[in-house]
Amino acid sequence: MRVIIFSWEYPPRVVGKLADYVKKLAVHLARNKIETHVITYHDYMTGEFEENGVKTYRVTNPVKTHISVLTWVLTLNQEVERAAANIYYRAGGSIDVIDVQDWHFIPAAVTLKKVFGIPFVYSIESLEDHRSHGANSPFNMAIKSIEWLGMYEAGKILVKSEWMASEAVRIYKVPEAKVKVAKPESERWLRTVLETYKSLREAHRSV
Amino acid sequence: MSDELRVMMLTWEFPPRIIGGISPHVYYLSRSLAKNGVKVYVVTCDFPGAPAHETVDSVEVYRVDSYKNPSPDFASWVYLMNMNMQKEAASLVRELGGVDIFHAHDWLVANAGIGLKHVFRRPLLATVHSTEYGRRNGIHSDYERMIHETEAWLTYEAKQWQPKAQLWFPILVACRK
Repeated sequence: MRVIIFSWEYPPRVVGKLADYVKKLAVHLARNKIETHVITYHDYMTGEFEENGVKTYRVTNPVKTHISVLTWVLTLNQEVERAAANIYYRAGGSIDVIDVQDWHFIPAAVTLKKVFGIPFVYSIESLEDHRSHGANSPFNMAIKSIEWLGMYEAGKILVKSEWMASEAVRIYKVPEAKVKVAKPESERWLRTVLETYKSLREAHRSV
Repeated sequence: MSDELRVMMLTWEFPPRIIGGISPHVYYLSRSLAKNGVKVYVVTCDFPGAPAHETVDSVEVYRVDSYKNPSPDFASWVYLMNMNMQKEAASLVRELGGVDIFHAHDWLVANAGIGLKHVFRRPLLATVHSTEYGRRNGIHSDYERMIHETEAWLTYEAKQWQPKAQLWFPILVACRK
């Protein structure tokens, strides 16, 4: 199985709690004989690296000046698409699943789904409604609209707690069956993640 | 018909949506190309009353929902519109079984054009109708610099780019620094 993880933070670039989680996930997947690629951002440390059995592909933003994280993200997505397309074509057109961590690279995941038919999992670390404490300015609403797009287009949604599962259902009216809880501290964590990937791969193959 | 040239034209305006000079330019360009045996697919923003798909003098015009996402300012609207345009254009190219060239008009469709180039691996052509430097008589803020750098990104990713008129050359040379 070949998986690409999209994350805006990955060690050594650590912004919040997500970087260490994604590293743990990628290393565990690689140990379980999953060909694991991580596409992430770095200011200058760009290119491809092999770290703990994980193939990392760091891209930088082609547009340096920005007015917000929103515009920053929206010009970075094309570089994520370039990196993912490079992996896709090199692999002879077989990527089983993309796992998008949070909202940042949902636009890229959606385009890759439309172009290559690669299904994606939307993994939620946090939601804009909580990060912005319910603020609903056009800026917050724009980010929420990208989260909504991810909820809609994703094959499955992975969350880290029952509370987050109920919040995804409450805020975005996602069908409950679409949301899977994989608690990182639980013994079943990796198995749940792998089952989720496999279910998407099977669903995609049977189309 | 297999050696027919298929071009996907990306523009934020196409009649009846007319904001500036890009709309009439792309209108006449795409019709002229079609008359010369080129298959042209125009992907553009929607407009009240205009159909989502129509054939204008054998040019296929597709209009995408351009106000799908709330936006705090014009530039953010442009990038979000591009997200949507790219998504719709990607599905369309897949349905069509591919195109040969992507042709983007100004930074307003830079993201969509560049993304499509990367995933489909077909050359990108860019026409520069005006520059932020020229429109504002210089670059004075981060907002303007962001647009300026997006224009630079578009010309970098394009296999070839062309100014709309010879007149722009001195400005382009000046802002390249």
